Amino acid sequence: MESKEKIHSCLNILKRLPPTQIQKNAAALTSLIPDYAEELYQKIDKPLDIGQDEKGNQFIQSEFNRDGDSFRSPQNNQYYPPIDDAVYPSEQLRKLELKANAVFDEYRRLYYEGGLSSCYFWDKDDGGFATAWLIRKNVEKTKGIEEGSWSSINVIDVKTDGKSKWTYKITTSVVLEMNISSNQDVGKFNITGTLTKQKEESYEAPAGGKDIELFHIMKIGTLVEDVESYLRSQLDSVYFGKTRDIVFQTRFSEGEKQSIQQRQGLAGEFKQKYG
Amino acid sequence: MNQGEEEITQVQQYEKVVKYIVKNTPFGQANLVIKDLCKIIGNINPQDPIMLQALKDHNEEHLALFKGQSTQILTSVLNSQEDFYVDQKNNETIQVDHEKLEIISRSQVELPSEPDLNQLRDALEQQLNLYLSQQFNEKICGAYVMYQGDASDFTFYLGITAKTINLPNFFCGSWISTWEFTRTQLKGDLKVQAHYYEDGNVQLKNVNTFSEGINVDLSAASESAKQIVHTISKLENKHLTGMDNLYNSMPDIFFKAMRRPLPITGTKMNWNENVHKLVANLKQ
Repeated sequence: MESKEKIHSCLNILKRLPPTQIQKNAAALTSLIPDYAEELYQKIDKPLDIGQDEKGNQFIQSEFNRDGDSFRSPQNNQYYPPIDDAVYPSEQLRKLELKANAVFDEYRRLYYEGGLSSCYFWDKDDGGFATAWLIRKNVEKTKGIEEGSWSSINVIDVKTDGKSKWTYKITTSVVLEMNISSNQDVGKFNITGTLTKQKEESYEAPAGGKDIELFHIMKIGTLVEDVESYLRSQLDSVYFGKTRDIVFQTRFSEGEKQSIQQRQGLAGEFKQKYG
Repeated sequence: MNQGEEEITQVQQYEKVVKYIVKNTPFGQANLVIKDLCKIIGNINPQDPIMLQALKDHNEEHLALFKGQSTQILTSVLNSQEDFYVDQKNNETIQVDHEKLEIISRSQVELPSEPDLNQLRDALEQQLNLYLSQQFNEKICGAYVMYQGDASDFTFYLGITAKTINLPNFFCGSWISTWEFTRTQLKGDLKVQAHYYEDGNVQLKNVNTFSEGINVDLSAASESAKQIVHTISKLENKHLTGMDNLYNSMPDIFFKAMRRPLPITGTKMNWNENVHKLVANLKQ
């Protein structure tokens, strides 16, 4: 219980620290609780890194394909840098992983028109499995944006009742970074942050267990699409709307405060007169 | 080494981490962060010297406002001494409670004073208070004016700040601008921060610097003060308008480039069709 409380406090603090410095923030906190560092890192959402194999094929590096300091490629199932005695998905799951990557790549193409996607699967003790569907997209340096990136982290936990019912629980985090480093009018401007959403659905698989792999991919894919689309619509109003509102209620534009007070004054008069 | 000595050494190791974390916490949330840090480190409470020092630094960097019965003071590195803050105008030293943001006590003190500069300082204070009332969130806002030197060679220091703190609705914001001027030059630094953390953690951080030539006439204090504050407000308003323009243009140039709301076909992805097609391709 004590470790749970400490990790909870760390996550509370991380929610308040600037997400642009997530690596530094995480390092600072894990230095306070070195025994629980691994556990904490797995709960942290940060922009996804990109690695490559010896032929230059890129793949996403994440907690979900990491063993020590090496990362597993979803294309050839090898670790880079190479290590002995690493963790691999079971043969069955690896087949599912290959199929999922092919289909998810099409999703990426349709919605992102660029960027990089990777899916990673791992076995669980309860007979189910879990998977992470990840996307990283960078914004080209354009119209004053120095750096901009989107990282989707979709983690799906998959359980069965042993018969034909499958339950999918998804947790999606979108990490956005937008950096403008030298705008004439505003100087250095940066908005960075994460939004998270969860959803759970259960479905009956087709009788006889036929094409169960395709079934999983369709169900997981549909969930990912729904939650990502929802978060994308939220980002507009939260990233921009909310931070903008906070600034403009701290420091009003010229004349704004007077007109608010005028309206409040008129509303007060109206109330008095007409009750 | 006995138990007590071991613990002291450990906590000293934590000092650097505590300083970093509290320094980077948005204004309004430092007390909560310190509580959580105490839980993580264990055997330490928010009144420990390490926590209090980190909180003091945090408050000074954010121009924290401390209230008393009939007065208030902004704290910054400029008027900070080890145990107290200097109130130049009222010739006082002030002791504060950093956790409660309250003034604990005040004592009279003799400070160097220049009548000509005092006049300008008082006029500036008047103009700044007018400026604050017109354009800032009055729940938490304040300004300071201090000077160094004499009539022949002076530097004035101004600080302007307003904060929005709404923890039940998961957001905070601060506007912190610090200025200094000599007879001919005005320079300023602005820090704007916003933090929204319902279902996530989204932060805006914006910094800008300003520099403008001016001409200060000490014999016309009221007029000089008006001009200086007018220049400051003009520069700050220009910055705010720039932010507004940026916000208006961002959805187009940023979000569109990130992820489409729907594929170019106008319909959601057909998973059934794609799953069968792509997996068949794989087998080949």
